[in-house]
Amino acid sequence: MSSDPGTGSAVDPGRTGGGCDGPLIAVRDLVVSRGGERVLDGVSLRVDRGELVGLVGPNGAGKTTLVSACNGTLAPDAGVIELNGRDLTTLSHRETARVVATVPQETNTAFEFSVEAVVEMGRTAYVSRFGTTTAADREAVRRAMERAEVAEFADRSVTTLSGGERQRVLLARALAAGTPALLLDEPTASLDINHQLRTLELVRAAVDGGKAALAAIHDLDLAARVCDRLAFVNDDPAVGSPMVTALRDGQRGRSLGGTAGGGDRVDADGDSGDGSDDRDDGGSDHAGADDGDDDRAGDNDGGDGDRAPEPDR
Amino acid sequence: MSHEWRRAAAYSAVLAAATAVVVTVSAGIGPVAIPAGTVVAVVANAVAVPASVEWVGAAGGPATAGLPLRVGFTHPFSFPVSGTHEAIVMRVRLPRILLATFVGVALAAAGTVMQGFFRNPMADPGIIGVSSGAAVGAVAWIVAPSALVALLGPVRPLLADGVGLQIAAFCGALAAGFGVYLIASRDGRTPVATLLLAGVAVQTFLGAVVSYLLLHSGESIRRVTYWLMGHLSGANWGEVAAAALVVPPLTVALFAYARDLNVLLLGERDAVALGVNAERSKRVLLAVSSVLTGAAVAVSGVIGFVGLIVPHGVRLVVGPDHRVLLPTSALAGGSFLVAADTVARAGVAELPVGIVTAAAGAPFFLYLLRTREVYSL
Repeated sequence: MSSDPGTGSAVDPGRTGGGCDGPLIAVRDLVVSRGGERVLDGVSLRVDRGELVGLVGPNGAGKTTLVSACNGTLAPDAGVIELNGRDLTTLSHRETARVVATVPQETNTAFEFSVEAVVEMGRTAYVSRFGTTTAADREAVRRAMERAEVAEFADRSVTTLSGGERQRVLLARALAAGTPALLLDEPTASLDINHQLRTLELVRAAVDGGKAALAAIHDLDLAARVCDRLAFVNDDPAVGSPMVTALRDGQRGRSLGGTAGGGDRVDADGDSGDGSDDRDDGGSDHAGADDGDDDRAGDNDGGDGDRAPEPDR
Repeated sequence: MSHEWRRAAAYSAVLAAATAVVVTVSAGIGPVAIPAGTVVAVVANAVAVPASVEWVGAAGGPATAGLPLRVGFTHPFSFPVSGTHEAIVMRVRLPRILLATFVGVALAAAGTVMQGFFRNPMADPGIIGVSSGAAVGAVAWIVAPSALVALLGPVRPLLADGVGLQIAAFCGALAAGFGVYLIASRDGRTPVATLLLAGVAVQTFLGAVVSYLLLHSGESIRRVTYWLMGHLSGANWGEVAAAALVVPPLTVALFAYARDLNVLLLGERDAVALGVNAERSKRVLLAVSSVLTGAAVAVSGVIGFVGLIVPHGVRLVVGPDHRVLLPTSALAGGSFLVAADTVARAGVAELPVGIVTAAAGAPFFLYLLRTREVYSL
């Protein structure tokens, strides 16, 4: 698992295909209204391969709206969204789902589906109506569950999981789709800081493996730690379009590790291995900001311990 | 073959066998008790294998189904059975039992779809007004046949005797279902919540229409009440053939949407993001399950509870995955209704089967609720 960072492309080469040059997600002059009110007005944004772009801004500013427009669940009034160079409006739901996979903020988990069944739903766009899942589908599901660290409770009902575990199941579902791009709609909103960090580290690992990701993240501090760039979505009409800010590479590298040894091919284990640097840095950078930092460091350590044996599998 | 399909196949095989047993036993029960072995022998004797096809030309001769062919059948079995037993099984009991099977399959499959579709444990096959529409059609036919006959004027000669009621009920069902769908749709979208509320409102309205017709039913009130309670008496091979043409193909069509239904359970936005054309899947699921329900109600009246309780009971056992739940629920519905109808006709005075399904189904369901931990659908 750790030897190959690109889960999706490794499992089904060609399915993630398309042009390799342009941005995976390109948004130009997007206008979206909801309930008669303009939520997004002239938004432009691009997300490239191997890039994690954080969408930050106050509640109600339109982060979720932008994510929903990008996966085709919300039709824009004006503007263009291109996924892997193709206009979203020309793609079927199925084709769209083969380019972008979405981790929702929450999902209806009142049904007693097993974790594996939910992750397998990530393959919906590949399974024909009368067909069954193939060996490639099952392999993608297995690897996604491992990467999102939910394999150990594959047979449990999703209703029995904690919020953090459930969020990782939804991440696994998105990874199972093997898409080149990920969309995350406040994936950490309901989680405690330890689980927030853990979830985003997994996203970071997927991005370092070659995916592009656009993540709405409420917590600015957290977003700055894991993202390559941040896009501010502002509900102030005077500002209008979001301001995209490139973070200093060093800042992101320092906060989640991985730059020391050759930054562009960092897998999950590499990240967590360097996680100790992260904790130290985090402690010094944000010492005054949050008393919980020490707890987080401790919990994070525990998480690393859990993951240590993975390469042996 | 994936794990779920294997589970579905295993459960279905067991339930199909159970259905066969229930059908056989049921065919032996009645005023004249017939041993199961005799029932099997009678059915085996009726098996006909087309053995020869003879060209008789356009000139005439005894043709088969309008074609200039004469098909010769051989009966591979000829067990010695009494003519009385043969007549009872083949003419009286078997049509009714097979009709019960098809109606049970249709109601349970449609109920399963509606519960998943609406993410609502109280949804039943008639939730979007299909049963109420059928009731209006059937009651209007019974109470004021002359008005409907006039309405059907041009097609009247095409209808065989005695199927007017079924046709009226089926048309009423489809009209109500389609009407609710149109009311709830806007800009090509059909929100599930709107559909549910529109269905409830239309059901209430159609209920008022039925009540009004009942007031004016005069002599025929007994017949109307009997129909409204749901019954399978008087079933004939014609109805069985019609049900056989409608129910199995449409039920299998629903199986093809089992995966979509699973994904829809997570919510429509999730489903769309996962690549499901949610609006189209919803339309297909609604249309197919409405036709199934309409067909079932048309031949049997409003048999309550089968479409509500059978999917629930089966879900408690096999889980929420529709790839497993739909086929098992359909088969369980078939055997449940055959068993209930056997009870209904075996007593001293024959009861409408709707009474039996409700009276037996509700306590069984409460038992399941109490013995299994049920927190959700």
